[in-house]
Amino acid sequence: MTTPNTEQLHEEAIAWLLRRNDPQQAELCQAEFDEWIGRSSAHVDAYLDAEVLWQQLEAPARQVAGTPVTRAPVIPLPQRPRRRYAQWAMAAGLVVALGAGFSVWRDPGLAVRWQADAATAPGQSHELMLADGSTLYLDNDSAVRLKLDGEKRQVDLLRGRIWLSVNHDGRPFVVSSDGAEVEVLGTRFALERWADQLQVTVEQGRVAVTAPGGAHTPDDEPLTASQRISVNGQHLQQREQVNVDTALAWRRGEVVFDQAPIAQVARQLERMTPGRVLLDPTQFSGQRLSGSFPADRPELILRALEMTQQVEVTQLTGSLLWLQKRAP
Amino acid sequence: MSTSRQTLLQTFLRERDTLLRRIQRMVSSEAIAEDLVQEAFTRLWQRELPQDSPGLLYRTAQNLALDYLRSQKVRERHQQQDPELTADRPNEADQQAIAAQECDALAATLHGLPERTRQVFLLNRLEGETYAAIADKLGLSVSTVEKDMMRAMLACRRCLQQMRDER
Repeated sequence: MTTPNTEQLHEEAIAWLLRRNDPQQAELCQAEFDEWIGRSSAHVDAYLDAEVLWQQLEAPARQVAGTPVTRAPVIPLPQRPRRRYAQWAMAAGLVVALGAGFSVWRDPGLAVRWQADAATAPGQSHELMLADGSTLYLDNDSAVRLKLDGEKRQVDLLRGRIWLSVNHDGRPFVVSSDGAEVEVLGTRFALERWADQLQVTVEQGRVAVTAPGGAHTPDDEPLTASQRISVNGQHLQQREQVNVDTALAWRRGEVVFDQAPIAQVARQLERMTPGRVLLDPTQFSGQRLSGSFPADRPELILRALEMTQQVEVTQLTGSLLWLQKRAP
Repeated sequence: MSTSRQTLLQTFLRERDTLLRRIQRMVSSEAIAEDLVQEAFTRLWQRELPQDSPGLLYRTAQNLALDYLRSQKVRERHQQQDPELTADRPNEADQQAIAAQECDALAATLHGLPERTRQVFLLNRLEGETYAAIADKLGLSVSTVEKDMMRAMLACRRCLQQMRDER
């Protein structure tokens, strides 16, 4: 039973829903609506109930619209449960999407980990022996999908970075990520996936890299030891020589920055800790950080930023760090 | 720092407690309110809008809260539908029977409305016509259209209310 008071609330909620559904009124009443719905959780509940009712009315409205007005509606019963079920199945999909979108705030890799075969959270790393005897090292906040029993062994890097030591067993070994492919010709190497690019670094042996559009390693020459290549979208960049000890230090649980821009340091910090690291990149243009840090000690990186880069670190809230330039 | 971010940050720090209280009233959880408020701020920060105002921060946080609560609501209802998640609830066949009954009852309610009210409702609900367009088409005033919509929705709500009270 509902009291007259909650009934009143539900009427108001329905009135708001209708007003907001009408494009000519929605804009005008926005501020008033904000005030109304912010009053209590009961207001929110009533409003969401009104939304549910609106959704629920679609099916009966269709029935009514589809039958002559003078006749009572005749509904073929066997079909409806199926359609209902489909509606709920869709609703369930929606939950996953929204639920993920929400938790992703604290941990942006969460959604990806759900579809992965092996994964690590921020601050974790993990080494595993694959079924074919190869070794896979997952760095912080990384995820892969594995398929090792076919004619071709396949690893898909969904997020983060991995280091692989591939065992020869006569079958090809292919690592893919976001459309780019790395064919392994017996080797130890690493793949790093960042928001805007993919990096392949070879420690030993050779790999062939193919960009999403089909572009190959320059001159079809495989990448060899101490070489790194970056893939930006469909473009393969020039290969560069790297110091493997530094470039793959994360494999040993170290984080090494070599003249790294502050924004890159912030991205690395987000891999090491839950939550977000915010900064305004324009404040730090031209500033670089170099140094070696244990991967489980993000606070040391923050201290280095404070000491050497005039960065002021502010904890805005529980999981929100803000890096700003210290006032001179 | 770009001035819009500077302003946004000042707004955030100044309004945070008020905003938190408000979102907390909506979601009834301090931790979730905290997350939503931070998410709102982060989104605006990353977008770097040329103009920002406390209103935008409030609006963003509030929309996130509504999205969140909606997802909770759908989840609840889905769990009620799913016999494997809640064995002690009515089983799926019963739930489907109830849903079918409600659908029939709502259809009957819509049928029972005065013809003009029904027509207005169907035009808005199914065709998505605006009140102004409906008023135009049927030779009514916009406020009559509004009242008809309200009447139709309330009749349907009462119908469901009654069915649920009887169960």
